[in-house]
Amino acid sequence: MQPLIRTKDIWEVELLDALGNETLGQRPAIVIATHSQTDMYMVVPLTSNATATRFPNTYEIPSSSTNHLTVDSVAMIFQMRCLCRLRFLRKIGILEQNHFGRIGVLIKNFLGL
Amino acid sequence: MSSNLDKVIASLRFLELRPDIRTYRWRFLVQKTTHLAQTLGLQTNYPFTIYVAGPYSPLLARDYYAQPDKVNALQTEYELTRRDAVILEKIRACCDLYQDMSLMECASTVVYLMNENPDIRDGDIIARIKHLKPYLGDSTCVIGISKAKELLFKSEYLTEELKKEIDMWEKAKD
Repeated sequence: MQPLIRTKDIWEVELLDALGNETLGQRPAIVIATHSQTDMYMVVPLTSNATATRFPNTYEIPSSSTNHLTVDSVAMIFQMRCLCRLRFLRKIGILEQNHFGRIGVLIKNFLGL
Repeated sequence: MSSNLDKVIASLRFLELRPDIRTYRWRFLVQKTTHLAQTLGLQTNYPFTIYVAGPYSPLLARDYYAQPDKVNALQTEYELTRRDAVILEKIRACCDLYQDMSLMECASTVVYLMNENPDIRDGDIIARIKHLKPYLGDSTCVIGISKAKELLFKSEYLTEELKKEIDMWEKAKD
């Protein structure tokens, strides 16, 4: 049985190039919304590159025993995108509600909602 | 020779603002606009400190109280440089700050804090803002930080390493 992918989950996802024939790497991402009918998931990518925090529409997340991030990370809201289940490799942890709420505020602001 | 106030008036005119310096709202907006423009490089040379409603310059207040009609009429011969215009366009792009005084108060305070300490962490900024301004909501704090980052952003922040990482996400098609 496939593991459930839920909002607030942090997953390691696999990113392939446009042709789908070369593994470029695995990166962590926060699940923002799920669409079970199509098995598609909206995610906000995370990076450990601290320079990213200087960009607008980003949010710093300290690593913790709840989110299980190995390093402090930056959520790149401006890079939000939809991914299919095949890209989800393993669940890392769960994002704390206070951080998830703030990311939600930034998403709304970014989209002008 | 043009005074610092002339540069402020020229900036307000560029931003198509119509100040009424008799009102608190406009004194607030003139203070914050001047602080933002000065932090981004416009040479008005007013010393700012953090007061009750964010960055504030008593010298700027002295100048506009001395010549309120000149400010209200946007009366100046000073011509902004091309560099000044680039700075002010950046502020114009954040025009929603002019529709929400709380957001302007928060964003200008964050700009002040980030200018003092460029390596300050988001979490530390939120803690400082909540301490200085407990009446500002969490959403205002978070959006204010993002607005400040937008104002202070420099193209060199997009490093090759970061560009590669962003490209990688761009190529993830589904």
